[in-house]
Amino acid sequence: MNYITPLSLIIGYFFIFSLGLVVTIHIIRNRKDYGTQFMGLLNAVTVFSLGVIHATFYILSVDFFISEQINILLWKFSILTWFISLIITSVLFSFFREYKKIKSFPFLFYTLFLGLLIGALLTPDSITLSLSISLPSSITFIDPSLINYYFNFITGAITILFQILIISHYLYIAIIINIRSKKKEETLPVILNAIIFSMPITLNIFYVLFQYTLFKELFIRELFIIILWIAFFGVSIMIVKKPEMFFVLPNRIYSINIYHKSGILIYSYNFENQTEFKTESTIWGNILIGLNHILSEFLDKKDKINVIQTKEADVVVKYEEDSGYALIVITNRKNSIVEDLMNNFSTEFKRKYKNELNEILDINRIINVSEFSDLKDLIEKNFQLYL
Amino acid sequence: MIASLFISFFVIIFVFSTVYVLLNRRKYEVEVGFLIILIIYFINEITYFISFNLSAENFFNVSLTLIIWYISIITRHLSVGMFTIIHNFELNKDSRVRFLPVLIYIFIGGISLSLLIVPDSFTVIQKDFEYFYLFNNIELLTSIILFNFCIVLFSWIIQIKGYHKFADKKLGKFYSIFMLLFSLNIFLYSLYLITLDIYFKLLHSIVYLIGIGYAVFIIIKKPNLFVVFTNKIYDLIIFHKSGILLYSFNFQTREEVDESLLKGSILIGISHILANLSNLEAQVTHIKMKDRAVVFNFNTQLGYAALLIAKHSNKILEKSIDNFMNEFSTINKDSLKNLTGLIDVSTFKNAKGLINQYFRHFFTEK
Repeated sequence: MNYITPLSLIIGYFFIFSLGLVVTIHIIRNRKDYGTQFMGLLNAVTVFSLGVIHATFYILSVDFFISEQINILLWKFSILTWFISLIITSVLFSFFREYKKIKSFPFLFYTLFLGLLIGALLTPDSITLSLSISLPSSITFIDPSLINYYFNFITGAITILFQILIISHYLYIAIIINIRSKKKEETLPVILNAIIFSMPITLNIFYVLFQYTLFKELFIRELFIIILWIAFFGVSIMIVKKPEMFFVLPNRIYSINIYHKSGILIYSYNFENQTEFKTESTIWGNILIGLNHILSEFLDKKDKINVIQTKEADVVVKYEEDSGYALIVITNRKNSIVEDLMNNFSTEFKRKYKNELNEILDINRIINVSEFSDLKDLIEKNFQLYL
Repeated sequence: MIASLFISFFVIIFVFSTVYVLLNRRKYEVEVGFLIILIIYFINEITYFISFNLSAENFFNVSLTLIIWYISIITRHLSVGMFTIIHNFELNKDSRVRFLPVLIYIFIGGISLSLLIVPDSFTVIQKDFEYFYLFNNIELLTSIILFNFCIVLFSWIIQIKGYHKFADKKLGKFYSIFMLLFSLNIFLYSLYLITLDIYFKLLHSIVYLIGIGYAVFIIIKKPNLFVVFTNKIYDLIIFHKSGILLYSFNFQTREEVDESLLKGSILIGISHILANLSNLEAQVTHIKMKDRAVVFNFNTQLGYAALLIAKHSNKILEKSIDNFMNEFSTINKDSLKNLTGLIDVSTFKNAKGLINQYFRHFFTEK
């Protein structure tokens, strides 16, 4: 029996398994670097399911023979974890486009396909095992080329259709981001990611599609796992090295303005080259005060404006009533990342300018806005990822 | 015989309600997308009930009735699922996990659909003049029962938790009664699938027809049900560029608000906004607050603006305010153009008629 292939796979598996564990722990420990805790968690789950769970089920089902039923069960679990990993990756891709704004339509289909797959896998003969050697009596380390799994028509069709949908979705998101982005070079990692991830998925489609033909002799299944693990390695490195790419791409901040409760603009910072949104900073304070005055007459006075939605941007407001100012961030889309950054910035701002803010709490005092002119550093520190 | 009786009753109810809705279509205001979903839902509902009853009739051969039985199971899943998704989604609008029940239904529905394809899932038994379908595939039966269980469980949790969100409390009560009938119907259907007892089948069909009849009653009694489910309008405020409040209406008290009762803060607010009106007009679409949404609409030609304060903003509301503004501009064109000197805002009291015309669905019962 040829031991080179199974040994290589085992070595590859241990490497990917360890990498998966290390990266998962790294992400969990540094989850704040990924914009929000949720984003960090999603990344960790993706890495863990692909690098640890899927890889384990895969290697156990193709590199070892335990018994026909157990091997089929392990193979079924590897398909299931593959589906789940692809769905989670798809959620991540959707966040590239717009954070926490997932288009429900593809995910309803994914859920349906996941249900269909589980239903199909529950049926007998959905997967059959073919062994090219005589049935071993005990647990055996085996050459993967000697062990083959065949999908019945329904399971095969579900697997192929699902993966086609996933590839289309990845590529669609990457193209949309590229078309809409003004900085095309920034979208390159997403396009590259989509292409890299599409390769193993395509190979898996080929494996299921050509399972009864001579093409299976081309070791498509082994090629699939090798390409997948290479892609996984690359993506893991990127996740560790460039966590910010997960939230900078879909987000733009156009400007940050701080208004005194009297409506006076204390400080305004326009992000470099952000010409998409050109409204004068001075007007938002007036508009906000005006609207809140009117609305306070009709509504509970505690309920204030959180967001003013415009055709091109969201004007996100954070009130600091105790310190007598409002922080306004003009962004393309309000989300928890922006809100978190606003909270952090506001806390530091209050701490740094405690005395100045206390002085102007009295509305009749003259406001010397030049006292806040060195706010630039604080803004650049807190919002550096958007610079 | 019994099947034809049930189907006849169903057809009578359906034809009556369709004719009624078509004749009174002006009372009903539904978004096009939602209308399409409703049509698909009703097609599934009709197909289910007819196929469920026909599948038992022995004047068809076994293979044909089996196909009809399969159709009844698939359309049952679709109709029950669609109704529950609409109901859950609307009442659960503000929840962070509003999609979760939908995903669970689709997931279990997918499992059932997949298991349904397995050959020999049923054994057809003929008793007297009827066919019965015994489940050979226990996983399929389990998935169908689980689907029904989740539908009832989540719907009740959402109905109870979201009851206070019903803008029209009477509509909320109607829905609760309907949910009782709906749950009973699902319960009897599940019992029939497990026991194959004809009495459960008859009871299921009777409760189903009562449910459909009750739904028709709600549609006739509450034509606003598609608009106000959980949405509410609080106030409509119209002000002129000179800073004068032209008209204000409170939807909760259903009364005009006397401008003398409004504090100076409104005027301060108006002047703040008007100073920037030209900048704002092309840009602001919505204003969001914690528990409210504000629709802002301007007419710079005639120099006035309207603020509509509601629970949620949606297309029906935006369309209503657009129509209202167009009509308001037409009938008050001269008054608005000549608004100088001593201004008599009583001229704009005609806005009340327009509110009755364009926002009548939002006059809800407490």
